[in-house]
Amino acid sequence: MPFETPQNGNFLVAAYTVAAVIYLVYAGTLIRRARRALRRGSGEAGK
Amino acid sequence: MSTNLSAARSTIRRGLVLMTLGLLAAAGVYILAIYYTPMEARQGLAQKIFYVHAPAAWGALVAFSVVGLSSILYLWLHDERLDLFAASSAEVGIAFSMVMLTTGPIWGKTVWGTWWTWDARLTLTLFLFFLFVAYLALRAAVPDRGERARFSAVVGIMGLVLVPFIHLSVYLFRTLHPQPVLLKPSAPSMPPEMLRTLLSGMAAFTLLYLGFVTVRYGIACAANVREGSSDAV
Repeated sequence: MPFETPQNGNFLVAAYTVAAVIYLVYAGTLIRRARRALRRGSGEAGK
Repeated sequence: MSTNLSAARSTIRRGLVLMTLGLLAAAGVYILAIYYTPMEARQGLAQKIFYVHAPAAWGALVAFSVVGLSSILYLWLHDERLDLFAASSAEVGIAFSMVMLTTGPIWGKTVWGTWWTWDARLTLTLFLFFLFVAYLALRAAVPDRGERARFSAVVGIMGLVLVPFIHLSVYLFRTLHPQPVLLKPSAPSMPPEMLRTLLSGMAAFTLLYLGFVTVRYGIACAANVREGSSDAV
């Protein structure tokens, strides 16, 4: 039986955007926490 | 103490390099999935969600398995680093789970016609996610380091028990979720372009997991050194 390929590219865009946002936001929080840890670490090592 | 701090700092730096490489590799997977893999005729473009969803599920299950294994080793060896590594892996696993639990329903809405169904695979995965949210909440609530490590190790091991059960749930129960195309006894059941992209996704997200967990572990070690020094005062 013939079938029509569904036009659902917007779902792909939504899923890829959500995934990218989650990874980038998490990477951003890790970078912020890492910078704080590195700064405090260098301050204490200097004492 | 400064030796420990400098070790934590170099761990963070190594992790940041790995994380950057992992993010670049993940971007490469997006490009492969969009431009290289063919469009599946029955599911349309939404099928390509699979190249982000399945590697995220892989990353989450690897992360939670690492929590369980590190927890077992902690209870055996009492090495505080194993507890810190388990906690780091749990947090990273939650990030991967969030991707898995959001991209899955987006695919489900267009292919199944519903965002969510309470079948065995989906329900167990959601339960695993909540278990590790509880794991982090437990860690935040217990001030004593030894007790915190012991209690959370038990929860981490419970999560590990759930992981193989989740993988096998599509065989054990009648479920809407597709059966594995890769991690199964028979050969992979997909065209070579799709298989290559999926394997690239698994490799990229494993690298991203390693980057995230290394940075997070370095941060935990640095915080632990500071906590230890303030305890001593």
